[in-house]
Amino acid sequence: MKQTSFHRCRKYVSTGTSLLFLGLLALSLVFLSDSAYAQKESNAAVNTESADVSNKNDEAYTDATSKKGTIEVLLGSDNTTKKDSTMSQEYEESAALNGAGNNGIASSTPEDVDEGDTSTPLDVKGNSISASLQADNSFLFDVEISDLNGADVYYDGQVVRITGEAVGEAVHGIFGIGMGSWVTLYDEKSDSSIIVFMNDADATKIDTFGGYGKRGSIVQVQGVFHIDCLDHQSESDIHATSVSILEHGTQEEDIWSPEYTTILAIAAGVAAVMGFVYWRLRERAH
Amino acid sequence: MWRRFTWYDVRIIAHYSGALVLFMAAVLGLPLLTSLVMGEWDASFRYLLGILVSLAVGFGLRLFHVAPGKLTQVQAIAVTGLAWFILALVGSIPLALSHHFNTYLDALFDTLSAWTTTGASLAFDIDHMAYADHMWRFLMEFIGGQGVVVIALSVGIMGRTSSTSLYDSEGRSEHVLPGIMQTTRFIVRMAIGIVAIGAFILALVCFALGMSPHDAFFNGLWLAMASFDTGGLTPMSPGLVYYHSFLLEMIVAILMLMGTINFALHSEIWHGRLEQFFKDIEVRASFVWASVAVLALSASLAAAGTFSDAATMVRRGVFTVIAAFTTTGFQTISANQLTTLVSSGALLIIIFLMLIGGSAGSTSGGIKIMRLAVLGKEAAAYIKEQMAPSSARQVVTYYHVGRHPLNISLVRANLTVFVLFVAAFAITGIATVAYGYDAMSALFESAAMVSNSGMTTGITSSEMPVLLKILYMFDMWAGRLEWVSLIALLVLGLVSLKPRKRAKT
Repeated sequence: MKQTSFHRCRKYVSTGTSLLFLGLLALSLVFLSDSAYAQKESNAAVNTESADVSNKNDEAYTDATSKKGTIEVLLGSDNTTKKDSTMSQEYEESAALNGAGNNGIASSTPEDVDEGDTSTPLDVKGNSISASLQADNSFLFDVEISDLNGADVYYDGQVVRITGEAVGEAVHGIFGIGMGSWVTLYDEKSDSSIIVFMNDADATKIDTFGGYGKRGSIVQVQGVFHIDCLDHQSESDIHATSVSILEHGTQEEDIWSPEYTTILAIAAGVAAVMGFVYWRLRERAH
Repeated sequence: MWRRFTWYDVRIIAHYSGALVLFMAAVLGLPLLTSLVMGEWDASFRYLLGILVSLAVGFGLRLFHVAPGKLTQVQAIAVTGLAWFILALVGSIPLALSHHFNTYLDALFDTLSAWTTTGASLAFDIDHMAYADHMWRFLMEFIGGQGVVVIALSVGIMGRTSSTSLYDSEGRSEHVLPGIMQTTRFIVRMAIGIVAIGAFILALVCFALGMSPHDAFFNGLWLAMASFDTGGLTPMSPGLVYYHSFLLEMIVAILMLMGTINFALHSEIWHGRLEQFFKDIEVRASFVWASVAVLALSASLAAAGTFSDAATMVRRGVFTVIAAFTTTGFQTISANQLTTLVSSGALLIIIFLMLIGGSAGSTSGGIKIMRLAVLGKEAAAYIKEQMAPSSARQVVTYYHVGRHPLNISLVRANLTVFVLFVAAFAITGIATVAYGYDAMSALFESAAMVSNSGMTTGITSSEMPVLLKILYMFDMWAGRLEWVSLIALLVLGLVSLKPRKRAKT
């Protein structure tokens, strides 16, 4: 049900929490950036930006640049245990690329940054703040399908990760094999579903689609959510960038219970008696 | 003084209602067959039980009066009015025993929604629903669209003596052919023919979309039934969007439009009298109204910056106009998009479309375009009369399978239906708003229920308040009978329950 008091309340609470979280992250960012600045070359100028987080963000990912190179800092929030492996991987790759190969470029881990000394204002002489570096607020991890079904335009274009059961069949354009498939993902908890557009290779990973007597593969999809997709004439969908199968589908056995026979026998008896009485009375009436 | 039901009336009504329940027992054979073919043993049990319960209830009702005579008009209204509810009560048993409804009331809501071709649903997890359950839901829409009584009459289950009064009581006063049996058989054959052709084409499209042959067959059949009978149910949770096919949507739109054409006009076209179609007051009024609605909705959507390119406008805007106008209720704009992207002005146009509805004597619901056309003609004649000399006498006519005079009784009848629909819409809207729902969504949902359209902004769900479910069920039931019959039946029932005053000695 849409926009109940409960949903509205939940929305306000989550927005409030996000704002609080945003503030904390911004403060952490300033502190960590300054620490990094203090630890590294004295003449390095650090450009940084405040991390802007959405109401679903678990962490913020910022780029810091110096005159000589780039410092990539992965900032962990108070719940960094949910850190996404993709981001960690990006960080590691970046560190490997930048750290050794480039003279004067340093990579720092959050632990390194945390050991900083005193904080220094960002607007000290020599710093240049790049306006082109925008806060990355395009990640909304582990969103519920029901949230997207009730999403407002804020969610449009966001990267989301959802998990659901593949149901129905993979549908493609008329004789359009090779042009992508639409797969419906269903969330049993909230009884809601969403359409995911993925390439055919990803669709073939799904071994079972849910239906009567079948539990479909549990699929995790990361992709971009569109509230009205311009590529697909304003359908509400997700364009998958990665698809992984968490659980394979199963067949559920549909058996004839012995109780059925007993119940049917009783019902048949009652129906037969009623029919017989009616037939007899009708015969007499004629 | 109000007429009262006598005990004899009750017995006669029970007898004929029993015949309809027995007819339903036979119809339940099709979902049973589907379950056996698809190896759905749980569903086989449920439908076998449904058949046996229907037989028991049907014979039980027949026992009230073993050999009845001819039905009076009032008895016929009662049989028809009650039939929809009795059939829903018994027909919901197989669905209620499935794992797709939280309560029996939810299953009853769905069954009544299917019989009345509303298409609103409280079922959950329909993606895992048995083929047999889908078959039953769509079959109810098909039978409900033609009229339960019409189909029962066509197969001769109601007897021949009372056919005219029963036929008329189902809101189908137009006799397409001279005889009632001929008329009902023509309607049923025509519907089966159109649905069969539609199902074949849609099945081919579904197959081309990558569906397995049996899924393509079932989806094609069900969509054809739901489209021509302006029901609007879909077998998958995303609705019609699940198919992602412009071609499929266009075929569905054509079937919806065919379903909303008066059966009498279908007969005229079938017999090669095409000019009757183009001269018809209802066809002309429909064309004007739909054109105005398409332009207004397109302008409203474009102004809001949504669905503004031509292809999207056709798939979302024009399709929505057709779905609302025919009261089918298919949605290519999701409930969430309706409330977040679509402007309130566009929603208002959809509300008007649903309320006015399609043609009289067709499968669509709502006030009906014919009634508004007749009232419009009467209004024009009245204004003209005010300006004419007192001695002048004017005769107003309209064209519908021949030229007919516009008499006062027709205007009164149309005005009554109009007032009752608007009153029901207002009452339902107020009740929905009172439960704390957004006003525009509440009005949208009310119009959808009163007009048997079944479109939703998300209010209709198994979580909605029980009283609202009951009110919506009453709206669907009364809306299908165009209110007058059911109101008359309720008044008669209440009056009959009131004790008679003793005569003063």
